[in-house]
Parts: sequence; C-alpha cells; structure tokens
Amino acid sequence: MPEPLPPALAPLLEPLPVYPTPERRALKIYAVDPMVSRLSGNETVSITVPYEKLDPGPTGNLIRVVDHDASRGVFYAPVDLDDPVLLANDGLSPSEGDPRFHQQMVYAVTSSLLESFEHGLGYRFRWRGRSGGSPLVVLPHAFRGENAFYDPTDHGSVRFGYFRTNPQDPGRNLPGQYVFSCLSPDIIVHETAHAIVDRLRPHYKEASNVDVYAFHEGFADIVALFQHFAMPELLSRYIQFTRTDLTARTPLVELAQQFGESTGRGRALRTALGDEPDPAALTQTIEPHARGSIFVAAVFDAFFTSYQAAIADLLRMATSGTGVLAAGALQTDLVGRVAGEARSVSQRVLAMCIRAFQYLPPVDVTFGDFLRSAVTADRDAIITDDLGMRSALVEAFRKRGVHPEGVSGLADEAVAWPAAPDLPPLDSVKVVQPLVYDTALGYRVAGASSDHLEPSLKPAVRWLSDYAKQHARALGLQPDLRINVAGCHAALGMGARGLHRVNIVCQLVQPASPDLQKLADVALGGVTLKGGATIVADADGQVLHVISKPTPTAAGSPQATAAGIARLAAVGSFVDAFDTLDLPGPWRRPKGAGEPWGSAGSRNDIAERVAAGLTLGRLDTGVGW
Amino acid sequence: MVKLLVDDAGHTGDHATVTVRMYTVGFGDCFLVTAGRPGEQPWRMLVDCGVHFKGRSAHPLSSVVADIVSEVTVDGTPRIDLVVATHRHQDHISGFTDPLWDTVEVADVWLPWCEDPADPVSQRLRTRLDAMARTLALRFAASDPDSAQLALNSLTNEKAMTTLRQGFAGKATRTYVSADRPVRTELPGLRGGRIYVLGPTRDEAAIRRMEPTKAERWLTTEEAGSVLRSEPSPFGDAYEVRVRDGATSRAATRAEYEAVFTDLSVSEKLWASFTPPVGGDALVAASWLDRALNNTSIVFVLEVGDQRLLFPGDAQWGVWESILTNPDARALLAGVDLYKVGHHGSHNGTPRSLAGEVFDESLVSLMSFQEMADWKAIPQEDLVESLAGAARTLLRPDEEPPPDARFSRHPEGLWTEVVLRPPTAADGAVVIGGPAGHRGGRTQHPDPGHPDEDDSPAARGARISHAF
Repeated sequence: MPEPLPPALAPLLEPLPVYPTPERRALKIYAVDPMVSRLSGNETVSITVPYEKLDPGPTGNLIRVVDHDASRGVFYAPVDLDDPVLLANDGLSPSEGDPRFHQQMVYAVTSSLLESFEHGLGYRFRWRGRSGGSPLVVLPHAFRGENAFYDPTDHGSVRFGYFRTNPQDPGRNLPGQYVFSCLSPDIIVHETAHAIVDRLRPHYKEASNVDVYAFHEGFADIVALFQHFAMPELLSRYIQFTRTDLTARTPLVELAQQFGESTGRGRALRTALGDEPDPAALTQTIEPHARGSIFVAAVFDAFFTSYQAAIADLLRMATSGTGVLAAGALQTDLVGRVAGEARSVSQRVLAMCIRAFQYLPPVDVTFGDFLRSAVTADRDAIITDDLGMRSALVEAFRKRGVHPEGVSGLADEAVAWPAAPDLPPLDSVKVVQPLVYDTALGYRVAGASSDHLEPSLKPAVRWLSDYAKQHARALGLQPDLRINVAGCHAALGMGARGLHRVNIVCQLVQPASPDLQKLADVALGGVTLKGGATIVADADGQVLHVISKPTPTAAGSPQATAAGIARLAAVGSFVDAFDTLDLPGPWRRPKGAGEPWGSAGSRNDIAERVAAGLTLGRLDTGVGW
Repeated sequence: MVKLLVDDAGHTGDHATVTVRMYTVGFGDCFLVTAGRPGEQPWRMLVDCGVHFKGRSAHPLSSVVADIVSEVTVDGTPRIDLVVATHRHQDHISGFTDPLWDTVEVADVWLPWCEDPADPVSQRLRTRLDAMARTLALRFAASDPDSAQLALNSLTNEKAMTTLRQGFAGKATRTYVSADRPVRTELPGLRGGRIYVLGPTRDEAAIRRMEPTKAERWLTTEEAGSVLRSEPSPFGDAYEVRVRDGATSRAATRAEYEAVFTDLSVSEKLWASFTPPVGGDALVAASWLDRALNNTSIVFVLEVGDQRLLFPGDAQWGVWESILTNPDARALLAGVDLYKVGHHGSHNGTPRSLAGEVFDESLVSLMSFQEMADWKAIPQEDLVESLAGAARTLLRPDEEPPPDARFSRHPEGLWTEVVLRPPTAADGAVVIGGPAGHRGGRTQHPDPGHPDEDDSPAARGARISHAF
C-alpha cells in the first residue's frame, strides 16, 4: 500500500460541485401519543420539515430545544440531528426512554406547525426581539408535573411536564409508568399555538373580557385537532372505522388522550365534540378552557357540516342514491376519496382560522370578532361558497349564543367586516413597497437566515404613526393620546380566481388616558384599558377594512365617545362576572405579601387574580368553577 | 313538609317581638333568636355556635355558651326550641363541644341533608371531603399555610357533631334539611311562626358538584424541590449530562453544558423562570372544598308575625343563583327585615343583586366577623357600603350600634342585639289599611312584569360606568 503524502505535498484541487442543500428534512415522530399509537398499531410516522443547519439541542433559527429538567436540576444529552447516522435514517426511531428522541419530536412538530402558519398567514414567521427575533425556547422535560404551558416571560418559552400515571386509575397505561407530555403532538401543537398567537397578538395576554383567554385556549385546541386531519393514515383508518361519520368519538376528534387517561380522567383531555349547543352555557361559562371548548365545538360543527356537503355526491354514488352504505367494510376507493375530501375541507377551515388573524383587532378579542374575521378571510380567498362553509360557521356560532356586535343580519355580507370609512390610501413608496419587499424576500426558503433579509422598516412605521394620529377619530381612537404601531406587514396569498392577493396589515394600539387608568385601578382592580385598530389595505394602499376597538372613555370626560363609554361598561361587567365566580378570590394573598390590595382594600387586584386564576396557556385547568 | 307557594296570607295585628342576639365570637357565627308575645312563653332558636381557630375574639366560646345557657334558663331548666347548625364548618359548630350542652333541653335540631348518618350518599360524600381536608391540611401545613388554614376549617369536629346528632338533654328530634324550592314549615312551638326553607338543594347536579374528583387530582400532583432531585432519572443515568468530579460524577452546570455543547442564549431572567411550578393548585382545591361545604348551608327565612329574618349560613353564589331565579323565593326575600350577612361579609356570600335590588331600603343586617390579616377582602367594602348606606343599618361586633331603641350592646361587647317589633301608631309609622298594610304597603306577591335580568352583564356594567 503506498504511503500517504504528507500534508504539505497534498495537491491543490480545483473546487468540485458541492452537494445541493436539501429543501426538506425527514424526521420520525409519534403520529398520536405513545398510548394511542401502541393500541392502534400506528407506531411511527415520518414528517418533513424545512431543512436548516442544526446545532445540538436541536438548535435552529426559530426553535431552540433546551433539555433542562428543573425538578431534578440536570441536563439531558442533546441530540445532534445533523449527525450523518441520524440524517440517513430520518432521525432517531421513536422511543419513550431516549430523551434525544423527545427533543427531535418536539423540534419536528414545532417546525411543521410554524410552516403551516406561514402558509396560512402569507408571510415569513419571525419571533419578536432583536434583529430576526429570538428563537422560541422549548423545554421537553421542564418539570415534574401533570401539565404543560407556555410562559410569555422574556421572549417566551414552552415547558412540558412529565409525570407518573395515577396508580389507581392509569387508564390504558401501566400504573406508575412515566408519561411525557412532550410526546403528544396534540400537546406540542397546543402550547406552540399559544406562543404563535402571543407573537401575532401580544395584547391577548390581557384579559379585558371573558372571551380573550378562552380564544387563546380554543384556538390552540383547534389547531391541534386539525393537525390530525393532515395525517392520511389516521384519516383513512377512522373514516373506515366510523363509516364516514366523523362526529363519532375517535382519536381524530379527541385531544391528548394518553394525558387524560393517565391522569385519572378515564378519557381524553378535551374533544372537538361539545355538548348540545346551548346559548345559556356561554353566559355561564367563564373558565377559559371550558369556554374555549364551546368555541372549538362551533368551528368543528361548521367543519362537519361542510364535510358532509363535500362527500354528499360520493355517498350518493356509493349507495346508488339510497343513502345507506352497505354493511361491512367500506370500499378502499371510497375511503380514499372521502379522506381526500376531509383533508381538503379541514385545510380550508384551518387556513380560514389562521388567515382570520389578519382581520382581528389588536386588543380585546371576542368570539364575535373572530367569526367576522374568519368570514371575511374566507370571502377574500373563495368567492363562491359551494360547501356552505361560511353560513355553517355563522350558524354554528349562533346556536351557541355568539352574536357579533353591530351586524345587521346573519348573511355573509353582513357578518364580514364592512368596507372602511373614507380614509386616504397608505403611501405606496413609504409603506407598501418596503413591506411587500420584506415579505417577498424573506419568505422562508431553505437555509435562509433572517439577518440579512430585513431592510429597515422604520420609515414605514413612522409614516403609519403620523397617519394614525391624523385620522384617529375615524379609527375609533383618541387624537390626543399616544398611538403605537404594534405591527405592520404585507401578507401574500392566493385570492379568488387564482390571482395573487396582497394585503397590507397594520396594528395600532392606544392605552386609555392615564387619569382613567388610575380610576380603573381602583374600581376595576387594575385591568389595563386599551383601544386599538387593525387596518387592512390592498396593494394600492387603498384601505379595505378598519377593525376598531374604541379606546375606553369615562362618561364625563371631554373626549368621551359613545363607543368608548360602551367599552368601559363592557370591561366593568367582565370584572363583575369574574369577581362573582372567582373561586379562590378572597383567599388569595397579593403577590407583594403585606401590601394592601387595590386601594383602600376595596377590591382584590383583579388583573393579578385574573392572571392567577385564568392561567394562560396551561394545558390543564384548575379545579372546577 | 307541605310545599306551598309563598304568599302573604295577611297577618293581622300580631304583636310578636323578635330579638336576635349576635354573639361576638370572632370569625364565626353564633346567633340566639328569641320570639315572643307579651304573656306567652318565649320561643328560642340558636343558629350556629362556632369560631375559626385563627379568628378568636376576646370572648372565649365557653363564656358565650355560658351566657346562652343562662339566657335560655326558665324555672331552672335551660331550654331551646330549635338548634340550627347551618353547615359543618368549624367556625359554625366548634362551640358544640362544650359540656354545658348536655344540660340544655332541645326540642328540635336541624342539620343539612349531608349530615344524615343513615343516608349512604351523604356518608360517602362526607368521607371523601373529609379525606381531602385532611390531606390539604397536613400536606400544605408547611409550604402553603393559606390552603392549610382553609382546609382545617373543613375538618370534621367529631365531638361537636356528636352533640348535634345525639347530644343535648331531652329527646330532641333531628331533621336533615333539604329543599329544592321554598318549603314552608309551621313551627308548633310558636304561634304564628313559620320557617321557609330555601336551601340546600339535594338534586343530582348539587351532588355531582360536591364530588371532589377534580379537586382530588390536584392533590396527587407531587411537589417540586429537593425531594425530586434524589429520585431516579426517568431515562436512566446514561442520558444525563454529568461531569467527573474526583471519584464520582455530578450533574453539569449551565456553564459547563454551554462549554461543551452550544451556547444556550437564554437570558438570566428566562433561566430564572425555569423553576418548576409549585405542585398542583392547592389554594384552588382548598377554596373548592370550602365552597362545597358552604353550599350545604341551610338557608331559611324565619317569619314571626310580620317580622321576617333571613339566615343564609355561608351559602355562595351557585346556591343564591338558584334561589334568586325562583320568583317565590325572590318575593320572600324582598320582604326581609333582618339579614344575617352570609359568609362573614365576603363578596361570595351576598350577591350584588341581592344587596342592591332585592332587599328593602330599611334593612337591618348583622355581620359576625373579625378582621383576619390574611383575608383582607373579608368583609368586602362594596358590600359593607351597600348594607350600611341610606336607610339601612349594619351592626358589626367591632362597633357600637347607632343610637336606636332597637339596638343594644353588652357592656363588655359580648353580644350585640336587635329587637324587632311590629310598628304601632305610637311609633309614628304610616300604616296603610288592609291586611298587607303592616309592611308599609310593600307588595309581597311576585311582580309579574319583572323579568329576572338584574344580573345581566349590561346592567352590572352600567353600574360600574355610573361610578365614574
């Protein structure tokens, strides 16, 4: 064998072609949680996520997995997904006992979810923070406990707990076996959706009405549940099992089943199927998860209705018009087609829900606001509603007592946000062009890092700030108080008739007058009063919609508006309702122990009690309300 | 018990006088009611006798019991016609451990339905709630004193319960009370006296709400902290990042981890927030337990002649809601002359609509409480203002009553007393003729054109905006 040449004599080669950077990376995950996967024989699924260079952790551009266990005070070995052995094999194989697989799964599901949101929103996702934003920190084994939550502190982190099953009632698990909430895709998606909503609407952390936290919880559940419909194997299996009736109780429509059974509930944590629609339930339910479930049930109601409309012709053909399917297993072709329809209807509903964010106000969201935004978003994308989805959605919400304010009727056109009042268009050069350029360039492509893609958007923000001040009244805001431009971006998407649609979206937030806030600190226990407006414009800068939440004003003040007074009254009634039903209210000690509550001990600090009682993002609820 | 619609059959010229004595026990309840007419044997009722172990007043329960016994003694024998123990919280029954009770002749004892020893459903519920109270009290005695304190109030007081269920002199009959709608009982020992029982309900929903399943789950959650550091890893030692330290190994610190693998880029603030959440939500579980027992309170209206007295125990919103949606009960409550303030003046115990709209303008209220350092919201300011404002009177154990022939106070503050007499022409009261006239013309029948919308958000919101 010839001896190797010493390094100094190694020849200088002309560069050879490098391997092309991959577009996607395949990673194995549990399709449903480990318990259901084991029982249904559906062990492993490989999903693909956008490729990016990863450091051990995995540590990427948008996601940073830190496997630190605060209960035991240790780090677990981080996985290096760029190791050739793992790249060759779609990552590690599913294993409950190897923490590195858990890190892989959390990364994969989170990355996939972010991608879905980008498609729905129409622009590149960036976390808030220093240039490009700070990645979301995810801790797969953060603490020992039967919960998981999103913590908005600092740049936001998602923490997953792990625990041993309830020895008396472990469900279909071993008594005392370890259950990891990070191995349930439902739980990962639910908590990450909280992080995403917080990024899109940071003021939804402030409970100014009973729907705000419920919207957070309900939306996160909706996203988690619709992810089920993106898995073809799961869909085909349960369509066959239920004979196309998706309203039956199957893992398709249930959330976090292993978590629910292993914590002694005997059933899944939550479900898409609510109770019989009852408007009275909405007035009596204020706990966010329970109230969010009503929201979820409404959206799913609309989905089921549209799905049935979509498969009606397939069933007619399969049953030769009788409507009665033959006994026994359904034909594979039929299942395949029905599954395809279910998938496309679910994608449309989910896209509608995600796109609705463009039209949501920056503060004080209600279920009615969401309904109007969803209908508007769907109308922009799909002109003829042959599945009747929009009317199904309006009807589903109506049955459950959600009546959007200020609508003249329940037809599509009435429910959608109205055309904007006469406002001058946004400046094309200063605002529209830089935003569109930023979005178009920054769309997440393979390996693109965010740093060098962001042109300065400061002039656009300044222009919008002046515009808002000039037209404050038309936007429902006060001209004499400060207005912040909370966000602005251009959203690209497919509109009706296959043409591209460009929307410019700008969010404005205005805190109420300091005097009013001081009064509110006493009478309303510290709830922050804010007004806001979302401006949606088209590519010409023409303002299409203004979705306004008037800044609260006191009745006697010189700047009072009827809308502002009404908003203040609404916050007051929320505080009352919360006060009446808040279970641990009188017993809670204020955070600064020894300090008096409110002023002159008149009322508990409600902002604190709301935060303590309605813990945002906690997967599991507190004890019954 | 015969169920009848509440109506005002019209009382004519009844000279019955009712006296209510509120004992200054501290954070607890103890009320002695005496009703009588000139020339007749007085009829006596005792509503609760207890104090929270952390809220004792300057007057020990033993002196209170001694005073009660001497007060009710006639011809050398202490006699009470009716003892009502509204619910089993310590601050309502701890006084029944006093041995003096063995000498008192009691005709009737009323307890809520869940105390019935013969009822298996009650038995099971009691056992489970008791277990929960014990767990909370023991487990959180050190780490979460608030929850422990609340839970201790809910522990069974065997001695007191024995007295109530089997004790007292004479052959007392025990009644385990429940009512799903207002139920009227005539009082045999008191001419023209009756009691309307408004609660507790015993329906399926109420029993389900008392099942502690949800709350128990929060007690199985383990606590964080050093206990868990010694527990074995869920993955085995191989996966932990450990650093060699002489002959042994130890877990790597953050700095060491970052030196080997990758910079975490996690700010100090964020890192500090990673401390695990305290196990479960013990305070919520304890509040749930507190409410579950509070909602077993016997809620009743005593009617003697023209006087109506409301004793709601510690009933909270859920119970009030179902009472207030019943038009008969509402009509009954509108005519109440004296109100024993529910739940020591917390906002939980008296709904806003009750104090604001249902009650009369000349209401007299008795609030038995003591300021507790940890529970600053009891009594609630808004409620106190509402009950003490305008033509109403609020009597508190810590204050001298306003100068009025009806109110008096023991020289050392052992009790505060209210005497209710029917108005006579000599008092200058306007008496409008007719049988219903003695109430000053107030209609007692449910108002048909008055939909139950007082608790709607809009109405409540409107009140808040008016404050500005």
